[in-house]
Amino acid sequence: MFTGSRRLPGLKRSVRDPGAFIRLARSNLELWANLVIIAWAVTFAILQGTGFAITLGTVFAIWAILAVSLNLVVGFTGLLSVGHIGFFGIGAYTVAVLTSNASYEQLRTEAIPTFGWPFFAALPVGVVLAGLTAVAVGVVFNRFRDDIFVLVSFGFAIICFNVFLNARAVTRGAFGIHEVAKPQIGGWVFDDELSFLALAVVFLLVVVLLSWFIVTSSFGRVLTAIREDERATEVFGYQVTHYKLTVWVLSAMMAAAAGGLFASWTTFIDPNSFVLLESILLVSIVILGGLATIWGSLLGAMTFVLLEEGMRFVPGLPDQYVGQARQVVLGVLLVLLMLFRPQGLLGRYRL
Amino acid sequence: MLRFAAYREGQGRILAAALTTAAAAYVVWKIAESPDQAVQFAFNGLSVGAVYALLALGFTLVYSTVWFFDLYYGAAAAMGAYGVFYLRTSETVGGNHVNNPYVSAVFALVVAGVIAWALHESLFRRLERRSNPTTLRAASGLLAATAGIYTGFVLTNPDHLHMLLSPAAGVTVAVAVGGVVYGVLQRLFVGTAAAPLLIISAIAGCVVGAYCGLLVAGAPGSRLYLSWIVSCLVAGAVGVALYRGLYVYMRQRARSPLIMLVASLGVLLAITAATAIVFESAPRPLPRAFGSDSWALWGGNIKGFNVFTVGVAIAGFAGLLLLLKKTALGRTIRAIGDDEEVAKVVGINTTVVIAIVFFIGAVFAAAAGLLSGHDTAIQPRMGLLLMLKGWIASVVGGIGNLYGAVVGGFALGMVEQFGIWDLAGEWKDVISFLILILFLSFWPRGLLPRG
Amino acid sequence: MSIWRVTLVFLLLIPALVVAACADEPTPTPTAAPTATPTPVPPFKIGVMESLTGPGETYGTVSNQAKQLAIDEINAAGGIDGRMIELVVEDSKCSAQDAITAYRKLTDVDGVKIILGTSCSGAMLGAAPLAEADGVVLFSGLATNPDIAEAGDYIFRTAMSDAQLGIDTGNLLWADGIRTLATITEATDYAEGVRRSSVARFEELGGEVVAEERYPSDITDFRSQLTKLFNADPDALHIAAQAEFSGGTIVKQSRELGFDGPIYSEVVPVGATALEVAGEAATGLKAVTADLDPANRVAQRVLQDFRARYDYVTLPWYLGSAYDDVYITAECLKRTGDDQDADGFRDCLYDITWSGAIGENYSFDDKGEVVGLSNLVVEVLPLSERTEENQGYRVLGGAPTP
Repeated sequence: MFTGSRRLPGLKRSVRDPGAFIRLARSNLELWANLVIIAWAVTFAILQGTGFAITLGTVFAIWAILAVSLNLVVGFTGLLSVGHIGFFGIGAYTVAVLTSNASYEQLRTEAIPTFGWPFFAALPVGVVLAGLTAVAVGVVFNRFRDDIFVLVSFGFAIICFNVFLNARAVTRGAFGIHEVAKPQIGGWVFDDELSFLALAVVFLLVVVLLSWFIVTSSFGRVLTAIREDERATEVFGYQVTHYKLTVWVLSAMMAAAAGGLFASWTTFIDPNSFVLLESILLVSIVILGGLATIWGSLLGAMTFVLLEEGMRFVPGLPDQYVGQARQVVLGVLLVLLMLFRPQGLLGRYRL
Repeated sequence: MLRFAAYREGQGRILAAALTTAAAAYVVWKIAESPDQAVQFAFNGLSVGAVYALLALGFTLVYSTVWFFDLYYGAAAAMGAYGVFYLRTSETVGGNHVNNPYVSAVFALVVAGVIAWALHESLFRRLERRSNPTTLRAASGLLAATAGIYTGFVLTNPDHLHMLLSPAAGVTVAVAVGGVVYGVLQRLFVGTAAAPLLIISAIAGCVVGAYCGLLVAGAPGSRLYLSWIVSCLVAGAVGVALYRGLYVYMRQRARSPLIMLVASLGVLLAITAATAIVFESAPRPLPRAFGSDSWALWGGNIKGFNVFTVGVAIAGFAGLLLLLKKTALGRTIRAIGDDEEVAKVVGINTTVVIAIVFFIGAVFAAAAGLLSGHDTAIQPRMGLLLMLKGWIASVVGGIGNLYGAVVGGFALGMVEQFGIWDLAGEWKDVISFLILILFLSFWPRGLLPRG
Repeated sequence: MSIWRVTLVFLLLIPALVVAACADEPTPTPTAAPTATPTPVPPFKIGVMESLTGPGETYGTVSNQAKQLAIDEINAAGGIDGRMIELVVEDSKCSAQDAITAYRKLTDVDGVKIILGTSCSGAMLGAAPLAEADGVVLFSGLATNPDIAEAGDYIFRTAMSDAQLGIDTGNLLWADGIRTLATITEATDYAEGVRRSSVARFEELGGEVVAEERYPSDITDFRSQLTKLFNADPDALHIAAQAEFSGGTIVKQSRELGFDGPIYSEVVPVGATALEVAGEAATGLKAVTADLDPANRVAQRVLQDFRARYDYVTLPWYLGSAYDDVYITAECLKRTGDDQDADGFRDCLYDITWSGAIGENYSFDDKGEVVGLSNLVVEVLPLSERTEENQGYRVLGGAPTP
């Protein structure tokens, strides 16, 4: 239930006793986090004007899809995957390769065919491709857990990046792929920022509902049981491996959808968007928001997107360091969270 | 379940043997094809392998003691390299003369904190019964503050590094020489009273120490090498501070090693980004160290510095081996690695011992970082990349085994080189990670499993 | 987790979307305020996208500083008919992605219609389709990729295309008697573009590329790639680098590996940082590059002022190019009198003939390409002879023609 339903005890008492106030604030941390971040978002939208807020809204939607999907894996299987950006990239590259119809591109890419598919035909291909990759990777990675899994997922991210960069016959390497098609339904093209934001929000809604459905279904209950006690669940006769693999593949497919959306939104992609660091940042978002909570992931993504803009108001910080400063803040937040609130802002479960 | 694991282990051995044979055959075939290139690849492999080996050594020491991955390790490698850059910025290309009093102050504070804690643990505990605790606190606080101020001075005046550090070098040498002389004399003159021996060794120590101090003070050329020591020590101090300030609390409550991993990931993220803010994100070379000219040898070329790096790796390995196998400290470290709870019950001060392990680990990482920085160049992201390579090397060699770490490091260096013989060079990283996944799948205990 | 919260957030988002949809499209910016008030006239607002961080850092910084120098000169002299010019700078980080973000920020938040930049071809090609679609002028002093010629009607540059650079390099290689070549290329769009045009000309003349390697931008150890290249026993090595640092390091490591053949490259490895990194190893390195004419008085004055203000000089030609861009912009603003009139500005650029620091009487053709400038061949001097004045190399003259 929404946290607001919790009673707010003794506001009066807290005036006299600071300790009580701190306890009160702590007991309602979720509420505070919600309020602060939403207030921040609204203030920001007012301050910066609608144009840029729409752009940021799209960025938020894409990060949110990624965070929600990754949270399925991290929150429900306990596997801390740093390789999620790989699936994101597979989705993005499939959509880009299949839909790109660049005219001045021919000059630089002699041998690469253009397919010129519509976006909505390419996207399912990307999603399925990511799913297949996830099956293959999952079968190999299934035997690893905890820190070893983290290590191999680092490896997956780096391998994916290198494939995007070096498999030039498919991805055009460092040149990147230009003029990725915008989504189109009938005669309606999502080519302005606002309609694209609407589409991204629809995608996000679908992903959120899907995750919510997965989590609350009987399938999700088995997953919860696995996280609580894998051995016991196995004893009850559940194929733990299959459950974990399924959720891993589903999550990868959602990430690929986000990737497709991203490619189409920016209309240009190159390997630099799929570096390991982005993946680490994604993991921080998920942990920040909290494990096994969809709302937490949304909030985490929102914080992440707004953090960068918030950094611009820090006095004495040159603009070019904003990204780095955000990284410092995220790092410190991670440390503090692990120290005081290992379940994340809104999470129910610890790592 | 167990039988299945055993089966997989057996199957893995066969597969690994087959793969190794295939790899060896491939290498032999390639060597026959072009011996010159093979020699050059071997030299390249040796020089990067030495760095990987150093990283793997520190890594495996820390991991097999506390059993969680401390990603600060990567940041320590970057800090080692950037420490040298920071202290020698006036001699580097594009150094922008970064010398920021705030940065220096942060590190001085960390050093002061660590020294205060170390004094507390070593002296305070022993003297507690006899002396007034207030006096003790004041004394250790004063000492720590002095040390912090001294560190601050050293960090803010890198151009006078040789002058500032000459007393420290002199005292260190004096204590070391005095200790050695006393030990030798004690062996030679069994039964003699301690006092005269002490006086003699003290005089010897002071003379040699003063001479060394003067030597350092008179040689501005020593600044580069002093900066190596300073940055290794500072990186080590940060490691101790992190352990004492963060991980101890987390370990008391955590159910899973992932908590520490994520926390240290936060540390790594923050330090990497902060490095990029202070020093900018572009790569930079470190100043020229000795041995920068290459020698032609057996159809290949190798720099003297690379040979030195290999030497450092081997010396580090030998030192660590001696420490773990021959000293009392080493035995307690191993005891904690085997079972921390039992070690605690037996009366080992595990916090102190683990702090020392973190210090050594961070020093190894910092050394690896600065050696690789001198060999090629430094950049803020180098920490993450080096850490992953050290991690892979220790997994390949067998986590928890020092021999394994060295073998794994050099093996990884060689595989990276020979692996791209027929592939394009940009697939190097892919090769190392494929090796990692292969090993973890079929040979999870590595080449030389922990005993 | 509960469905209520999820519903709630979407309920919250709907009014936000409605508000966004109803809001008038052009974002209100401070400069758009009516000028009826007695406050001084608002300045012309011009966007700048340069790579202030990342692999093109040196270029972006120099270019940005040269622009500031020019702007301050213009404003100190009273601006354009009394109106000052204000630069709004964003970091495009040498990547298409960041260029798109920076572009959106400039056009959506700051409402500029004329953007000077970017420093890198990749960034330029990322932002170009957007600029073309929105009718925003993109005017670069640095981006050299041949494909920028085809990028659109609103895309201009004073940097010479790599197509010409490649032909010059190919000719130079052939004229120097190089018949077999090994290439090492940074995996970035700029460096790939340079390699492609140079190799195309070299192979057309009958040369052969015996080995080629690429490297990702974040590595610092090139020895394994170089080892493979030298094992193919080429007559010469060709380096196409994006970052000065990697260019210099490759030269240094090549010599460390015992390669004593000639090394050829373009532009980047003869930059000040690259030469400092490479040290003595760079001696004899030949490069095709654009350089300022020592007889050009504007150029000499700009270099002098730049040194006086920033205490260093590097990449003189690009410095001059960025400087000229600002003056050309000022001239066109004078003609159109409106910083929101991108079409008028574009027509002015097609029309203009300019003499400035990088050359006399140059102009733009119908693709927005600069015409009337040419490249030079330079050779790096031994370490002892390098000075700040000669930039570390001597000019051998124009590129040879077979």
